[in-house]
Amino acid sequence: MSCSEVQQCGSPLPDDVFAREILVRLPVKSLVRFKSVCKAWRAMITDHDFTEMHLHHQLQLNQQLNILFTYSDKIHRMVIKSTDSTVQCDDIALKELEHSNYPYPRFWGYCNGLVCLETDTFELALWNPGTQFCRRLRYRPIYYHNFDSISSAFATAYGFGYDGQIKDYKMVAINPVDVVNLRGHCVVDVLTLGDNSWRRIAFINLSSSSLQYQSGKFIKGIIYWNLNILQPEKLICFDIHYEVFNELRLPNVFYTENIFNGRRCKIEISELGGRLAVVRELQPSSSYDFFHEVWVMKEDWVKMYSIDESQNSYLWSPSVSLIGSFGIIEDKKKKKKKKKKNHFEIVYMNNRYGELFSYNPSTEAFRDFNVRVEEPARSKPVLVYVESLVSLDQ
Amino acid sequence: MSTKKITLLSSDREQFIVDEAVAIQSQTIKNLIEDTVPDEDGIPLPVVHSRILAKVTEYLTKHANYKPHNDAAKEELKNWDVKFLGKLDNNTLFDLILAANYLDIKGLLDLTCQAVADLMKGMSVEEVRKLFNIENDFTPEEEEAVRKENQWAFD
Repeated sequence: MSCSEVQQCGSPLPDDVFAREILVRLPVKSLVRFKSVCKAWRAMITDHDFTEMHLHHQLQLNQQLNILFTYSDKIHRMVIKSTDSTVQCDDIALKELEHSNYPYPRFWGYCNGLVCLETDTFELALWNPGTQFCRRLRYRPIYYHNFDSISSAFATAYGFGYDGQIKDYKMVAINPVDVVNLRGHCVVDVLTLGDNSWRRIAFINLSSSSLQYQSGKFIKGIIYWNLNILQPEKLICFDIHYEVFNELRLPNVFYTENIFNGRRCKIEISELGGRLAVVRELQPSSSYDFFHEVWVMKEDWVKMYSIDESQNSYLWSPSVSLIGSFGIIEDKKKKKKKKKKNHFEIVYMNNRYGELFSYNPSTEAFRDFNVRVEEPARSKPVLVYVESLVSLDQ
Repeated sequence: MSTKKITLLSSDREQFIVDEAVAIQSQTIKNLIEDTVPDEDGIPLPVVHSRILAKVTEYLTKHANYKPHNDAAKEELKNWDVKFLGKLDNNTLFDLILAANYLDIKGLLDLTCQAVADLMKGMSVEEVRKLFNIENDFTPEEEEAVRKENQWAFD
């Protein structure tokens, strides 16, 4: 048998090798285009198992960040790569949804290349910016104590994630019962994509003064919120499968030491290489006064690095947002002796000027992408996703 | 250090004699050495033609025991890989992928598959059909519909 005689999809390679080894390496845009090569290719590219395989490959690689931010009446996208210093920028339209220019669509969260968003008319949708497919969801219930849907909407905390055990996506909304005083009890509603309906799962007691349109961070089956901005001691966690809440204490030093003479610090939840991370930053009083540190959750909180004004690069000051990272943080448990040294780079946005740059904690080197996010203060929240072919059909 | 030699036998029964350390980078050959009584002519690889096995052994010889410990050495090996790929026509490249898959040589499989992916990435639908000799089995109406649905990907 000569090698070139094995032919099914027309390619000289067997289908499984072709899909598993070659197609998974292609960007979403090429794959969407190649659906029209022939029927067999269309079936292969839209196959659920292939979609999963492609997503897994892209997540493993983690060499590209797709950044979305809204500005004016458009959604802008920037694609930055670890291997390349040029940044691709374009605009994507959200054709299927009605929305006026302001306020912009609010991003509830993202996972597996899907973005959950809500428009100013409270239309809720799942959107795949990679394939540009969009699916409307049921309007979420608003818990009316006082009939004021607007303030209720802004007093909500949101979450979105994937329940791997039932293989379905879920959206979570936490609303305070007392919208006016924003105190005490909250109701929790969950929507499962499969049946597209809302269920009220719990009443919880939170000091909800800071629910205000916070979107949780979904990492490995758990959604995290930081609901106490003034005195952060713990994060609120929600297990997406069991639908139960829990608390996770922040690093001890966050509330035991007082190195800033009582000055306020901002805590932000982030994700680094597939792990939960928190960023602590001193609220800037001047550009010469700067402190920023990053902690990662391994078995316990581990401080990864900190930066202060002594190492200050012009890019850091006065305040930055952690956008995402290239590479994976290796598990120490894995006994890969011959493992290659991982290239790990963390991407930031300067909050005043909108410059995008990256920092490599092992070499302490900066890389300026020479690109700016317009009006960084208004463009937030910025959202980062991995491109995927994940389908929104049932 | 022993330099035990291994004889590999291609589908057209050509012999390739290589160091054991070179050969066992292929997981399949490694298993064959451990599990089977060798043919007197060598280890038979009935799906790999001599034309392709020559390329495989060229790659394995370069990569055997080559542990680049500095950036310059890494760069050199990378350049060698690029040159190695540059000498291949598309059909050889596909045959090499099949061989790397069968012989279970991860490095070679990654290298060759990435090369095909890079080649395809920017291609039009027509170019892809030509590259793989694929017949378009859509009716013009069906093709129009698929394209329309994904129009943005053609810009």
